[in-house]
Amino acid sequence: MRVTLLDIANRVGVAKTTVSMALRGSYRVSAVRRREIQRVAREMGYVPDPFLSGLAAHSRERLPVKNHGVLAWVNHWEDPRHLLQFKEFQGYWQGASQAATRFGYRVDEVRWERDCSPKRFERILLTRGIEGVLIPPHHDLLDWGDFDWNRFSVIRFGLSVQNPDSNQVTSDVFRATVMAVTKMHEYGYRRIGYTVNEEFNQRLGGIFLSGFFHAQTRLNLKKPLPPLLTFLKTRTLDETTRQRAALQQWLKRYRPDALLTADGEVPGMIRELGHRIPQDIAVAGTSVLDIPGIDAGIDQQPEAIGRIAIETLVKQINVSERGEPRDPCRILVESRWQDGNSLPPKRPARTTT
Amino acid sequence: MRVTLKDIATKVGVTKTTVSMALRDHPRVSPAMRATIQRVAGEMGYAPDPCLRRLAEYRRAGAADPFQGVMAWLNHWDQPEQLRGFQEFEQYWRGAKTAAQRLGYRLVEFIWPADWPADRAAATLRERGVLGLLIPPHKPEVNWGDFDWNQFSLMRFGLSVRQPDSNLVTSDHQRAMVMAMQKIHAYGYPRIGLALSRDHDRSLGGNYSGGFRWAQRLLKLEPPLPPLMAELRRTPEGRAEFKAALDQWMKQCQPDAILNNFIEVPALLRELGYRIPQDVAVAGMSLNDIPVDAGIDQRSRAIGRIAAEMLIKQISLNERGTPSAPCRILVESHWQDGLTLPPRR
Repeated sequence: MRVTLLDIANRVGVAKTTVSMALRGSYRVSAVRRREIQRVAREMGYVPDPFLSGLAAHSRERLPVKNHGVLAWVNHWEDPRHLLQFKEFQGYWQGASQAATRFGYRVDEVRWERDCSPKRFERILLTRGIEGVLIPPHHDLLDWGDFDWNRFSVIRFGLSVQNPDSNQVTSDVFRATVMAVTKMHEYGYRRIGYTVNEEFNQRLGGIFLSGFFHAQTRLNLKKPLPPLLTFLKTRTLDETTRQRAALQQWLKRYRPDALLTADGEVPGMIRELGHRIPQDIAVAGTSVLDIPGIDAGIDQQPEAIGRIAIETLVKQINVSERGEPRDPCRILVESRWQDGNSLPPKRPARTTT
Repeated sequence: MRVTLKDIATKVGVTKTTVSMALRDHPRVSPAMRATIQRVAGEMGYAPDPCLRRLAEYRRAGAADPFQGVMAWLNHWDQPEQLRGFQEFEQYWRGAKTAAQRLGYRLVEFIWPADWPADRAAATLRERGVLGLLIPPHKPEVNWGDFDWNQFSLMRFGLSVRQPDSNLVTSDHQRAMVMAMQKIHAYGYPRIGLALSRDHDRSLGGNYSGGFRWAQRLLKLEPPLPPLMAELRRTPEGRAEFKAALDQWMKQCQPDAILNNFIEVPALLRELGYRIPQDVAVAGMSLNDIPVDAGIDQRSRAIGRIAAEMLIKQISLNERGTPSAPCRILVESHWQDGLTLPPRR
């Protein structure tokens, strides 16, 4: 039998309204009472039910909650196991799954197999009663063909997936870049370099370089170093060798004392070239979680991104926003700086304005 | 008496569930039936009740509730009547008002008189049953006193005020800049200049100037023209000073097109003897208040709509005060063609 607010109210000895308010975190119920009610509700196995349309019937018949709302996390990676090997994306998943529970939903990974047509995949989602779709980042461009988005509410994570032109939730790359370069400057570094994969920067609308250029202007750097645009894609021996040589030449010419990198290959190459991190050059990453070989840099707060994606998606479902909106928006979550050994302060931190 | 879904269902001769789905534009109800049901609901004076949305439990009980959700547009300007005199802000208001109505909320303008202390303003808002606040742009030096933001769900417009550190909705300045530069370049203008207040750019976190630098590089503009980043004080001397700076910059850079964010620049260019667009084409970085007809349409009405929708989402989640991870909601701008910047080829 389904647990109702009345059951909880009877157990605690308060009015049903009080239980309702407490579960919604209302300030009209004291913090102590709120916690108590929330604890009892948990113990009794209370879950909110997202199926508003069926609620009235539900109430009369007191049927058990069978169908939880399911939200799909679409995985179309060539090797689907690779997606969650990125800690950033794992954070999205965890944040999303936790938040979904709060609304009575569950997030299921739905693999879109390579040999399955978009239309067939659409039918698979419909058959499973899915109303909301989350699209995590993908390396390859997705071809949705004749997939009918008007049947689903949808949110994209990050800027790598170009379509559908839905709302998206991502980290505030521009602001994070300015924040990180400013931090490095505060830590006493003056020759601050930047590396990013050229194609990646372009695909994301130049947001990395826009941020870096602005940071240089804002800090009034006397001799701003030009960024190094990397081109490594295939990891073939030949390409790796050329990339390493380009990096070496750039390091030799501009002698950066600190480097912010969005390219995950760069810290390894720096070591291969015989430079010590941080003794010879301090290195921070635009993602501390996923750039190997460094531990200082930008924490994109992936779990908050996952949570906000779910909140927005549930809102869209509730007001029947389906398909591509007329004015799609980007919801940007602020990143934080994380200290680490790969970029220690050169001198005690001082606030720059 | 409140009009219920059942009343509508009886009138149309369908089930209550069908009415519910039709009012939510559910695709399982045919478009013709949806239109009928929505029309009848409108005629019967049906309004969705935000409390129902907020409380699944309440809906289950099916009790009538007279409460209507109210949110307020907080106006603390020294001259409050000036706020919506700006086209951009008026569009925010209209977009928000319409969206609120659609979702069963009432948006009211609340003018907080300069001589009222913060607690009186907050108390008055609460007495009026206000659940959420939309905070339109204010001067950076606006004084909120010790206003208790924690009593309300909050949504700010833009970056002009720093406090409260709530979620905010604004236009995607960096992307708009790159988009406009690409457009102007594609229209056959290789020497693209930028006229922008430095203070304004700073308040936007450098999104315009950073985007400009990147776009110059992306389009391989040679030589990249330095932007005119000056301040224009609204006094006769300030105007003369700025005019001299503009004159010098025009002679030095010889732009064939200008992306401009000053209301006064088109008039000043004419005073300096330049014809628009024959001598220099001009596009506005916002079309609301700058007197040109080509440029960036910031979708101000959509910004207003999205702000209201997101605020209602917060109200329904009972998110009050400033969140632990405040987010910025950026709305994509569109390009608008016009006579002040015609295609050259």
